[in-house]
Amino acid sequence: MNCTEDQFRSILHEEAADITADSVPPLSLPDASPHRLLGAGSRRRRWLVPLGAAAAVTAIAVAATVFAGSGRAVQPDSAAPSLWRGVPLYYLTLSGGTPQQPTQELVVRDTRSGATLATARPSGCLPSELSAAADDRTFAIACQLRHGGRPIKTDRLLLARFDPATRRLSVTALRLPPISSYSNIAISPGGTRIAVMSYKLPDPPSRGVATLRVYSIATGAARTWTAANVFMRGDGVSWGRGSLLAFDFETTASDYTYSPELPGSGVRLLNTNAPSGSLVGASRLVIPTTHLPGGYLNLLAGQLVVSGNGATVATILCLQPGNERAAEFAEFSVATGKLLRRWMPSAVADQSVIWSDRSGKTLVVIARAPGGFPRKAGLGIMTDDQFTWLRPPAVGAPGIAF
Amino acid sequence: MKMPPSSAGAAAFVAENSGLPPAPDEPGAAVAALYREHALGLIRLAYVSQGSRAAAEDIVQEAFCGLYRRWNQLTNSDKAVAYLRSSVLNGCRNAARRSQRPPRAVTYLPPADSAESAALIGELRREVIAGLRRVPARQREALVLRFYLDLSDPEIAEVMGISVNTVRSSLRRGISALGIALKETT
Repeated sequence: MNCTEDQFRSILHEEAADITADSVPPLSLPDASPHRLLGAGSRRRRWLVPLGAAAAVTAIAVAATVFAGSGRAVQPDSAAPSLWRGVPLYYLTLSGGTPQQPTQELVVRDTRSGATLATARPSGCLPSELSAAADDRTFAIACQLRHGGRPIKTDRLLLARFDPATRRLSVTALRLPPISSYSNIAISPGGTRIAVMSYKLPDPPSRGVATLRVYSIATGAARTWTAANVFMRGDGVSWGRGSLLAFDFETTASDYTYSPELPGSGVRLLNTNAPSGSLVGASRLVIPTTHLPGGYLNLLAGQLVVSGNGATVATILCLQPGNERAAEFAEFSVATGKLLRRWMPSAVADQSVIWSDRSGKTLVVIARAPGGFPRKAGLGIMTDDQFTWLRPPAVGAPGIAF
Repeated sequence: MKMPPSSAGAAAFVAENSGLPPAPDEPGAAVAALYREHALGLIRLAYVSQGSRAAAEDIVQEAFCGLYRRWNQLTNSDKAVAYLRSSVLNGCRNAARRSQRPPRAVTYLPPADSAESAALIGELRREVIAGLRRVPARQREALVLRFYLDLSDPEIAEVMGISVNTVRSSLRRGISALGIALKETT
């Protein structure tokens, strides 16, 4: 059966239309007001509030002392100056992308203060994926084209440059062929090349073709490596030292179950100066995903970052199959493929790795606080045992490039 | 959040797009007003995600009760709808967990429709919905948000609390999984 996306869309609407307005049951709220639900007689015992607050502060202070050094979260103001060493001064993110503000703007922010330094709005497309070069002011953008107001499966590649002196962000469309929206992009540290990893599914879907293309921004020349007849899980790409590119190559026998990965799966390293050809043949497996102690690699797109010196890969180690939120940070050696360390600061819950410094010891991550309502989410800098939230504190993290 | 104009639930979501009505002072009245505006759309969302009409209604009721309980903690009433949507999706996930049928172990069972209703429901639709039920929860959620609510990748990321890259990955896997499920069904 050939079910196109439009058919799928209309089938979902037909299914939803089974629920009609007259079938909606009346709302049944608890009798007590929210105030009363907090505890009967609370008004009478208001004098207890300061005492309770003092007790809570004491408890938090004691807990902070006990747990000091084991994954504590600190605020940017109190962070040690060394924390910022090597961290890019500026990063690119997106504003909007919410029902209230669907139009998205590119926003350059100051990493330390979170202040907005420049904005730009590409015309005719919706920015969806971002990547940053090493100079913290050159960015590549995949911008999703729209047809009749609906996103289509094609992205245009854009290049953005931020000038700190004038605080201007200039955006130009690259003369490169459009890419599939299901692609992951990475601009090289020098800002001269763009890697595009895409996975094309046949229709009807079955085993597909994974394609890695590396374009020269100046000339548009491309080298292409492909792997046919594969089920791919991730498509993360991250530039390493020089012309080396690490990519996530997780192939399975079946894509819709969490089936074991096939031999050859894991993080592979490709010399992008090699001639076009076989993706597997031209690359070497550096971190196999099988036989990992205590979990398996969760290399969902974008969660794979090579350190600046090319020696390590930071990623996420998933502890429960199928539960991407039960995870720890993990660092692997590129040379040996060995797991060097795994850790999880108590200050954060689920996360993604966005950037690594030269040594791989300082990471920028998207994180969420483990509790609270609404859960605090945002960017943070993580060293061995310390996690520091960046401003602004709450971001929906629709797209961020360091 | 967008809904096509042809859908009967459009009004609720158009109202959401155009901003919330002024929140009455009384939490119960405010929550009731939100329920009138959004219950239909949210029940449909839960129904499409989860598959059971009764469970969908329970999930939405629970979401509104949760909002009512936490009304005083809401710093911005504009966040109420976003909270409800996330609560509904969480409710669907919990319902799936309670059913103790993890995605990998799901055995395909055709829906228990009567002969009459089976005849009424198109064969393609039945197969697609059955296939959708076999897709792992997160991927299914991403598919529903994309193809039912027409949300963009960043919008889905915000609703699901995951990164855009993970959304893309989930969508791609979900489409693949759905295709395979359909292939095996036929």
